[in-house]
Parts: sequence; C-alpha cells; structure tokens
Amino acid sequence: MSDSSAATAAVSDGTLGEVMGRLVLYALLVLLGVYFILPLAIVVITSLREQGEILRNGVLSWPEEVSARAWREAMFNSCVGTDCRGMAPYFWNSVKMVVPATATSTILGAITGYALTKFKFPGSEFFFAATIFGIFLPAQLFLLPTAQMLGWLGATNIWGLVIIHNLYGLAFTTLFFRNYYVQIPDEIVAAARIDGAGFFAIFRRIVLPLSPPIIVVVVIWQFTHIWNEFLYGATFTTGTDLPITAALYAVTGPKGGIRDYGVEAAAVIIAALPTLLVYVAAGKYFVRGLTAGSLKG
Amino acid sequence: MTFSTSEQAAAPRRRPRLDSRVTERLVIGLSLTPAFIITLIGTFIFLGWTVLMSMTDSTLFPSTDFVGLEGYWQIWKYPRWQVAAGNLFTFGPIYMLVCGVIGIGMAIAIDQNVRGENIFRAIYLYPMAVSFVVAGTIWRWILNPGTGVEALVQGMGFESFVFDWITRKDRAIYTVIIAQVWQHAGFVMALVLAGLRTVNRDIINAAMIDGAPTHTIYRRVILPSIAPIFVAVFFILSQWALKTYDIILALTGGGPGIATDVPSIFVRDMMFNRGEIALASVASVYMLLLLFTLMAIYKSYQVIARRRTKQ
Amino acid sequence: MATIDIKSVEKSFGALKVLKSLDIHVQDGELLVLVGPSGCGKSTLLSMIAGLSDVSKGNLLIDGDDVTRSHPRDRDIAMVFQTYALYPTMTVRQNISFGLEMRRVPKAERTRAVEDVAALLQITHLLDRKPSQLSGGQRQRVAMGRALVRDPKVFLLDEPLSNLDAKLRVEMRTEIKKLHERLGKTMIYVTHDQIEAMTLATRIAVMKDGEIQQLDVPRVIYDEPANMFVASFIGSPEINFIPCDVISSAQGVTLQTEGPLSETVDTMGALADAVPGDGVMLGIRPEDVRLVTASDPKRRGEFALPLRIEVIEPTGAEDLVTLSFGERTVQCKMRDAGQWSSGDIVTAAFDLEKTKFFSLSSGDRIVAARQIAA
Repeated sequence: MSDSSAATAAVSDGTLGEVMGRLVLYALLVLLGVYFILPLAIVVITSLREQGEILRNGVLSWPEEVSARAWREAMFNSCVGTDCRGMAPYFWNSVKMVVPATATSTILGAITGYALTKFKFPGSEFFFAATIFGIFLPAQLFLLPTAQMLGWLGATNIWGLVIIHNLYGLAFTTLFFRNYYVQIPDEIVAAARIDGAGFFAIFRRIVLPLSPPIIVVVVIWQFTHIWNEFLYGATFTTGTDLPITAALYAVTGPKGGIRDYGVEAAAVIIAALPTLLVYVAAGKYFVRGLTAGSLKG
Repeated sequence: MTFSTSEQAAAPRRRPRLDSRVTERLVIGLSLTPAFIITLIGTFIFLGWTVLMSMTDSTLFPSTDFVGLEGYWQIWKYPRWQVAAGNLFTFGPIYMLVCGVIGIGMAIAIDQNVRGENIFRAIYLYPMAVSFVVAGTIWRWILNPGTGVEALVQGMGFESFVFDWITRKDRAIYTVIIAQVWQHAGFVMALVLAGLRTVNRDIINAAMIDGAPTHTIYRRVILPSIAPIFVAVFFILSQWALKTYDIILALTGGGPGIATDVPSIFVRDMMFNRGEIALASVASVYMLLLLFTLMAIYKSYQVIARRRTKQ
Repeated sequence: MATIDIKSVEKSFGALKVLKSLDIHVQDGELLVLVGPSGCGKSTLLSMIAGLSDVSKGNLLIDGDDVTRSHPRDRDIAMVFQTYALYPTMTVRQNISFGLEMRRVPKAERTRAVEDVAALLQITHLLDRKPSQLSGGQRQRVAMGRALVRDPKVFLLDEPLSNLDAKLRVEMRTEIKKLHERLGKTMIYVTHDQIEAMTLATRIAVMKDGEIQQLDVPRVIYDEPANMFVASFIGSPEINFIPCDVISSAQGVTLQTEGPLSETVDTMGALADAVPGDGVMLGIRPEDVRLVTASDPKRRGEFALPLRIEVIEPTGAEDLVTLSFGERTVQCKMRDAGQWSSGDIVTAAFDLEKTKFFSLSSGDRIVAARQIAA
C-alpha cells in the first residue's frame, strides 16, 4: 500500500526541516489517535471502577482499584425500566434479531442482485432503481405506516424488527450484490445456460462460489447496522422485547433510579462489543462496505 | 413486471421443449417477487401513505379527512418546529465542514508514507462501528460538567474552569457536533484516502519532475483529481446531518428543554408521544423534500462534471 | 445430419435494426465463417443461433426443428466464447463435465467422456487445475473441450482465437481446422480476421451493417468479390482501388485515371458492354501489380501507369512496395524489389485478367460479359 502513497516519492532528504516536518506529522497523528481512542478508554476504565470513587473523582480519572462489580451487575442485575435481569436478555434479543435479519436480507439481496444482472429483461434497470430508491430516505418517513403494519401483523416484537430490517436492508444488500455481480462476465452465465444449467443451478454452482468476498462485506454491513440500529428498536418494541441499543438508552443501576456510571459503562461496552469485535476481526471488509456502499449509491 | 415480448405470442411453436424458456422466466419472476413486494410496500406504498397522512387532519389516529397543504403552512407556527428546523441548519453545515476538514486532513496526513498507517487508520475509523447510542452515552459523560472535562480540569486545581455547553440552551447543539464528528471523521478519511490511492502515480511523478513541491502537488494535481469524492463525501454527510437522531437522544435527549431538537426527533415525538400524526407526517415530508433537494444538487453536479470531462 | 436454416431473421433494438432479414442455409458438416468489421452483426447473429438473444423476426431451424424460441439448453449446441468463459471456481475437469452433469449423464460415463476429450486436446495433465492456473492457450483448449465433450449437433465459435498471441493463434487455427475435418460437425465460426476466415471456412459469409455482402467459398470470395467492401475486407495487404473515367469511342472503351499522372489507355473488351455510367472503380490486388523492367516490358492486355516508389518494406518472403499516384497510393507485392529504391519512377502494370471493376455508384462489381457467359 505504501508504494502507492501519493507522497512516497517526496522522500525525506534528511534535512532538519524534513525531520521536524515528520515529527510534527507524527505528533498530529498521535494526538488525533488520542482524541478517537480516549472515549473508549474512559468507558472501559469507568466500568472497572467503584461507584463511590466515580462520584468523588468524576469520570475522567484513573481507577484507584479495579473491580468487576459493574460488569456483573450490568450483565445480570441492571434495570431497564422495571426489568432488573441485567443486559443479558436484551443482548439475546439483539442476537435473535440480528441473525435472522442479516441472513434473510443477505440472501434476498444476493438473489435479487443476481437476477437483475444476469437475467436482464426490459425494465430490469428500472426495477433496480426502484429497489434501491429507499436507501437515502430518512426512516422517519416510514415510521407511521410501519407501526400500523406491525400492529396489524401483531408483530411488535423481535420478529417485527426482523421484518423491518428486511424491508429497509434489501436496498443495501441488493446494491452491494448487484455491483459485485456486474463484474462477473455475462459469458460465464451464457456458457452455463448452454451447458443446460437453470437459474438456481447457475446461482448455486457458479455465482455463489464466486461470492464469498461480497457476502462477507454484506453480512458485516448488515450485522453492524442492524445491531446498532436504535430508532426502530425503540419505537416498535417495548418492555422485555427491546433490542440492546434501546435497552442501553434506558438502563440504570441495580437499585433503579440512582445513576450508576460503572454499570452504565459496562452496559455500553456490552452493547458495543459485538460490532467492535467484527471491526477488529474484519476491518478490511468493513471499510470496503463503507466505501462501496456510499460511493455507488 | 412482465417477461414476455410481443413477438413471442405470435411465434410458431413446433417443439414441446420450448417450455425451458417459459420456466426460466417464471423462476426469474418468482425470485424477484420478494424484492418486488418489499419495495412496493416498504418504499412506495409507505411513502405514499405518509404523504397522504400529511394532508389530513390526523391526530392520535390516522384519519383520511383531507385538508390539503394546510399543514405545510401551519407547521411553521409551532415554535418547537422552528427550533428543530433552525437547529438542523446551524448544526448541519458546521458538522459537515468540521467533519470534512478533519477527515480530509487525516487522510492527507496518513498518506505521507506514515509508519503504522494501518493502526492509525483502524483507530480513526472504529467509531463508525459503534452505535450512535453508545457514542452519545460516552460523550454525555465526557461533556457533563459534573463528571467530565470540567470536573477533571477543576480537580487539577483550575477551580474557575467552565465547560458546560451541554447544559446551556444556546450551546448544547454544538456538543452534538463534537460527538458526531468523533464518529464520522474516520469515514471521511477512509473515503478520501481510498481516492488518494487511486490517483495515477505517473501524473504525480510528472509534477515532481516539473519541480513542484509536495504541497503544490496536492493542491494543484492530487486534490483536484479526486474532487468527485469530496462532493460525494459532502453529499453523504449532508444526508447524515439530516438523519441525525439517536446520538442527540443519547447525548442530550433533545434538551435542555427543546434546545437540541431536530426534525427527526420532532417527527418521532409528535407521532408517538403527542398524537400529532398529520403534523409529524408534514415534518417528515419536509425532511424528504430537503433530501430530494440535496440529491438534485448532487446529481446535477455529476451531470455537469461528466459533461465537462467529455469536452 | 445437422443443418441450420436462418430464415428471414431480423434483430432490432427498438427502432434500430442491427440485422436485416438474413437468409442462410448451413449444410451438414460445414464450417461457415461469419466475418466482418465490429458492429456488423456477426456476433449478434451467433448469439441468436445460440438462443442467448431473442430473434426479433424470422425463424431459426436446427436440423429442421424450429428453435426460434427455444432455450439454449434445448438446442443441442455448444459454444466457445472469445473470453473462454470458463467457470472460475471449478477445476478443468469440472468445467468440462458440467454440461454433462446438468444433462444428468451418469458419473462413469461423464468421467470417460472427459478423459477422451482431454486426450484429444492433450490437456489430460491439466484436468485438476483451476482456470486461473492456465495459460491463454490452455484455457482455449479447455473451452474447446467443454464444447466437444457434449457431442452436440452444432458448434458455435465466437472469435475463439482473438485473445491469443499471434503464434498460438496460428497453431490453434490449424488445430481447429483439423478437428473440424476429423469430427465432421457443423460449425459456425465468427471472426473479424479475414485470414482466419479464408483458412478455416468451407464457406464465408461477409457481413456489414447487419447485411450479408457475399456468401460463398473462400476462393470465390477472394477472386470474385461481390462488391468493393468484400474486395477490400478480404485480402492483406488490401486491394488497390483506382477510380477511372470510362470514355467510349470508335476504337472501343478507354479508361482514364484521375490526377496529374493520368494516362489514357486503350482497352479492353471485358468492360465493353458492362459499363453502366461513365465512372468505374478499378480494383487490383497487390500481388497482381507488376513493376515493368527493361527485361520484362509491358505486355499486351496490361494497363500501365507511371508511379513513384514511396517506400519498400521487405517482409522476408516478399517485398511490399508502396507506390504513389497523385493523392493515392498503390501497393505492390513482389518477390524481390531489390533493384529499386524510394523515389524511383517506375511503370506499374495491372493484369487486366485479374483486374476487377466496380460501379462507383453502387460499389457492386461489374461482371464482364464474357464472365457472365462463362
């Protein structure tokens, strides 16, 4: 990568000015790094401190002694409203939402993208444009009809959210797969059709084996977005059905009422951990999704 | 959605195996049916329903009594909507500008053949992987005078230090910018850096042989050639500004009072807490219109840019 | 028996007609080459025969069965693509056997068929590799193998050699010709390369702008081109064209060339009755241009012009001499041009037996009365 850096050729010739320049550059980069990393560091540290100590010294200070109390309580005793079973059940709510929603929206997007690129028909471009039309639209526009639909379906729960994330995720997944599949030469599909393979045989035997890179990108994209989503979760579910982001918004310490920073900090980390882990494990695909998803739209 | 063409019906058919083609079209049709239904309902019917509701007198329950565009004028009489809309137009441009400048700066800095580039990039970008609620919560503590920066500095002996923007009605909206820039600057960096890496090396070499210093090469050669990326970045940021919701809720709850209210919060609150469905729908359609305006600007830029490169 | 009948076939995209009512009958065992410049519709026609794009009008028959609306899989055809279109995630073996598998051929039979074809094409040692591990020539062979293994009625080849380098292209050309002669299958071969067309074809269809300009055996296409387009498209270096005025007089017909070097020459029964107007285009192939020397003077029945030598390009086997004639150039191909050099003024003689005349208005070849009689 560094070879392609625009500034590679401007090599340092070792003069004092050059060295100073590099120093300033690195100082700047490190400073920025601190700005970005500090909030996370603060939450981690806070989650390991005692409540009394936090109230005494504020959030921004070093722990006097390390304690796992906040983690235990956040996980199993913290309250969301009147439910004091901790974050654990809400974490599971999110898992139960994110897994099927990611799976179905990815599969649907793959098949839609495949059909629209490899089996074009008059109007397929229009079909595609209509499918991705919703990408930019603010969720607020859909709140009322979505609420009415879920009410009518009796699905104001995790399954309702799975439906919603398919409704509003399909545009993204279709866009991703479509942009990937246009790069697969049409001749390969033509050859397979002549060879006698049908729509799904070609998909399963030829297109799908070529798809792992884009599947990883889409799964990460969908997982991250669905896990982090707040508005729908907070609007369309209540009580013990809340996904973790909505629960986090309402979380309090084990006794309720009293603000417990340590527990809240631990809860924040619990809520953020899955997507952060994905980011650490597969950052490359995360970035690829971000850049592809935003520039192609 | 039809796959048959007019000639097909008239064509002579002698072989029974023609069916393969019909079957294939049927299968394609079936495979696209979920997307068709989802798009039709989830996008177009829902959109239409919201637009319809905005022209009715719906309050707590949807009503179909048509009142036309009345609500579109009435909404401006609500002080809260004035605050929300006003906030969007103060917060949005500043957020875009700060985020853009910091992101572009980080991209250029990282592009200087920096050691540990991957680590810096990973650190700058990780907030994008975190939910808005998490980001808002974290920043709420840092900005809270009692627990955050103010307490820290005061604890170091500067008793008179004050940093209480988050509790002040005239300043709270700027704290939203601080938090949201933290979350999005890395995204700008990632896009711009990807763009910088696509610039043709030969052009840069040519400029260097011509004797141009590094900053001139950036200003005159590299940055102009990735102008489309800048425009795309600002378009995306403008959308995000418009959609800002969760982070404000977690950071300030829209307060103090209604000081950090924005249209997205206004819609949600009016719709589900205040029983003002028509009013909320009007507000959301205004969001839609603003978005269409942004898209129109972006598309016309693309058209103009394409025409210019053709010449 | 595998014949192909293309009956009044048309292709249009909206108002744009890319193929205009084509009629071709391909006989069993024939290797028909569709040749023409890009955009002439040759590949479109091929993909219509394959069933990959719809026929707008007309009918397609393979072996007497109307397949106009059939799915590609039901036409019993195989196709070799310009890009080879190998399935990238499958091994060579899987690539070749995929078509059999899709047609539910039993495994043992499949294995044997793949082995046979691999042996025939000498790719047995490559069977377990992936396409990305093969060279261009090897990929080409695999693509051929995938087509051959199914033993279809008809082979369709879409510029199968154009992605190979020059040397391999010639080798594979020879192999395809041998394969065709050995298998005796009906093949349709699309190319823009007139040498491929000439060397491979049993018959050539020269196409331009969605129309067939001429359909005949290679020898006739070369010697008796139907019009100026066919004459110029087939043959390398290209045929020379010289516009002439035809003046009828008591002595017979006189040809007058344009430009400062114009010369009036007495001729020539061939043209006598066939001239429709007062202008014709004279066409002469480079190998039929002779430079007159003292020891080998102008002969009877030759049309001669004084020309200036612009450049001499030796190619080894023969020398290519470019001569100028006013604004025009004339190329001459000869064994050895060593006695001349650039700048020399020479006399070029055109054998009137080999000279072709074309109507300036239509571009069609004027067929001399005695050729018609013959």
